[in-house]
Amino acid sequence: MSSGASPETARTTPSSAGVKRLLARTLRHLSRAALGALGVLLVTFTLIHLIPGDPVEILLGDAATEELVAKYRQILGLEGSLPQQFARYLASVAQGDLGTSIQTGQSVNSVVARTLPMTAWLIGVTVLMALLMALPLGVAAALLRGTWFDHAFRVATSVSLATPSFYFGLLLILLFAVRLGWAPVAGYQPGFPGNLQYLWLPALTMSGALVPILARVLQSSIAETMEQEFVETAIVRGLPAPVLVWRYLLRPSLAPTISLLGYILGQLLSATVVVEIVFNLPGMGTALVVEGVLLRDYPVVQGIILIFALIVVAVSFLSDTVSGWLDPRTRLS
Amino acid sequence: MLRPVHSAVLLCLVVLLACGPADDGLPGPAREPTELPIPSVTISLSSKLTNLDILGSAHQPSIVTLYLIAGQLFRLNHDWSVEPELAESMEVSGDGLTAAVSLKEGLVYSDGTPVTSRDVVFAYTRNRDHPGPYFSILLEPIRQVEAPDSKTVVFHLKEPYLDLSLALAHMAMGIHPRSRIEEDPEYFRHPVSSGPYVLKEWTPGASKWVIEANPNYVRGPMAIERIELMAVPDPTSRVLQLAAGTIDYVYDLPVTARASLPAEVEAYPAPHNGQYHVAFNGGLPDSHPLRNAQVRQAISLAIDRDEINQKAFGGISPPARGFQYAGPLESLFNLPYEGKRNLAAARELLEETPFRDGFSVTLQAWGQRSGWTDAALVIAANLADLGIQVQVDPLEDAVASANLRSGGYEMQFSGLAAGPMTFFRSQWVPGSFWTEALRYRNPEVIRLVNSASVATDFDRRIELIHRAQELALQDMPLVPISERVVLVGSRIDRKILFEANLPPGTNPMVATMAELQRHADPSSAGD
Repeated sequence: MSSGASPETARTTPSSAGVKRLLARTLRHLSRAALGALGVLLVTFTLIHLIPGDPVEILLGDAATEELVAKYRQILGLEGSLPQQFARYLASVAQGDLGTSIQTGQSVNSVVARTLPMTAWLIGVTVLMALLMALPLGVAAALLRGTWFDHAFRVATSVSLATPSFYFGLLLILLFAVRLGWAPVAGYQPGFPGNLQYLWLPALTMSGALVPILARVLQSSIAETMEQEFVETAIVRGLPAPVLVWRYLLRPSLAPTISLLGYILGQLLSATVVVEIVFNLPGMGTALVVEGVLLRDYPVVQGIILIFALIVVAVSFLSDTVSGWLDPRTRLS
Repeated sequence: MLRPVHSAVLLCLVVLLACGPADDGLPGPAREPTELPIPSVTISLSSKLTNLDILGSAHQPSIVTLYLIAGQLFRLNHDWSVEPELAESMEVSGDGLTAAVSLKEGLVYSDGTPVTSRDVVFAYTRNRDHPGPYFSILLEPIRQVEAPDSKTVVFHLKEPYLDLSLALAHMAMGIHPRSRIEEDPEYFRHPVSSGPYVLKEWTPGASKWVIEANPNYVRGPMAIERIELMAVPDPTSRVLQLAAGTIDYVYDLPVTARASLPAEVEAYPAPHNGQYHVAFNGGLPDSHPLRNAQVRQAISLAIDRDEINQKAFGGISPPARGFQYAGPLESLFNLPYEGKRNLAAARELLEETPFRDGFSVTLQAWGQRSGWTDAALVIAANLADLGIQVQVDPLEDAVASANLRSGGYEMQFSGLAAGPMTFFRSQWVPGSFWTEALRYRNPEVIRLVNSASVATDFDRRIELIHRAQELALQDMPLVPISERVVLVGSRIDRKILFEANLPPGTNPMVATMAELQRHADPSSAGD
């Protein structure tokens, strides 16, 4: 009777299978991303062209004549039917060229390169700040269920969720910037760590909507984990509190929170649009509204939304991977 | 839809500021005029600078910056008079068809290269050969321009042109070196300057750009040595930044913000050289009530301009008395009852029309503009007294503008700002934006405005343009509402800004920005 594979083979087979699974999953994500990006391009292109307001008329102002509008339309490559324009745009995007801004004549790639770092910093600081606040809050709320803290937690998170970010931001500016002078009222200077001075208040504003969601999900998740047998066993074994909380409560409960973080990134990106304008931050959100939508600068709008979509897909993939590392049950499923 | 929200937020902020300590964390008082020259000031605009080539953009940041970084032959004063800037003198021939302009001695650009008459000719030919938004309005009467020598420019005109110096003071005639523009396709990313300031830092689309006093400016030195211009799209953020001292000067403040500003910030109205109006779509079917001139006149009589001024514009926007804002001699104050509301007279007029029982209509408004939707709401309430049911529809600027062009509106609350003759040409002469938007054609009005434009005698011009306004009053293609005035908030002493060359330009923002072109002469600053 043959034993089949050698011990080495037996050890490597699951690893190869794991790599294959990872590759398959990556390919699946990439194909989804490509399809999603195409869909986003199509929808964005259609919507921005459907809404009234002509970029050439905006460019030329009150003095624009019909002849001048027609001439500029030709110069700016806006002539032809919408399908023709979309085909041209798609071809240039396929070559990595997001087009040229109608209003500034700059490449959209350079607009993205100019604005993306600031927005990435803002989102990074927000996520970090939100996690630092949500983790202890969620754990405390789970461990202290039914107490006054739990009730206060529910009320505070409800109020925070119900407050619009632009209003919350203005209140924070008034308190921390105008009254206390702890932060600049608005503006941004690139370069770490100096930029953190300009970012902490906008990040706190965005955290106002993020922390309640993350903390509540974590609270429910921990509550569910606490009912598992392995937690009871750990308690019976008399493990130290930090080990019990991290290894047996927090770590297995974090996966849904991290997955959620990936999924709500889209919401976070849309929040940056409002918060960047309120805090006058020169990021992608400001560029999208001020340079793109209001001026009907089609390539800028399309380019930035495409980048937003790709970021959401990438972070979703990343959060799935991290969730799998944190909780093996996610991998198995 | 954002306007009420913004107003509510501003109200909350006002209350919060009022409840807090008086001066915590706020910077010191405004600068005194004796501190001249001021090393640096920060000014906020509502949008970003996207383009510095006059052929490519008509946005306010471009206009403001262009006036500051390019010299013209003439420069506008606050009262629409002009004075020589790069020009030494202008001599017009007896028949009014030729004008010879001599340049000042020793003119150089900011980089030290000489300003020549060929550059002036090029400024014209570039506009002519690549028509931008201003050519048809300003430079069309010019037939040819030549430079017989390096210091003289001769303008040959198709017809006498009383406003030639005004046209030459427009930013469209900003003087740049021909050779640099021809050699460098990217010239307007880093232009040299023949004007008061020179561009120091700018990336198209960036939120901040910097200009510094041009050391070679023929009328320098400047009172303010460095100006940082910042795009701050959110009006509430503009208020907060002004209050906190990170911005020194804000041009367009919400009127509700006045109470929340600290004592060292001076808030004052700045005339915009224009008027708000209700435009009627002349392309509507003949059966539409608004195609009836008597209905339009009744609407004009029923509108309470004082109420609009108080409720929508915080009392800073004087009610209109005629088709054009007060000041220029071209203005005729011919609205019945001096523009005051007379509901009885309005009812009487409406009674004589087939629409005596009233009707329903939609009034569009530019929803992003401070006070415009509020004004439309007051008008709706006023017209309800006349039996006209008005639904107010606030729109994004781009949509409102597109609707005017496409004829997708019945009535629209809007505004126009321009120099005296341009103001009338824009509304009543075919080819210009507002005439096309209104679909208004009255051959006699057109003839009178055209004749006034080419009149060589100023009194004759006034007579003709007044007659045009009398005729237009019968047609009432639009209802004048009130003068366009915006609220300015400034930490810079007002004397520095207001005493000196205050060109109004064709744009209010230009007027205010150009306030900064004052010479650094302390003796006149305190006058």
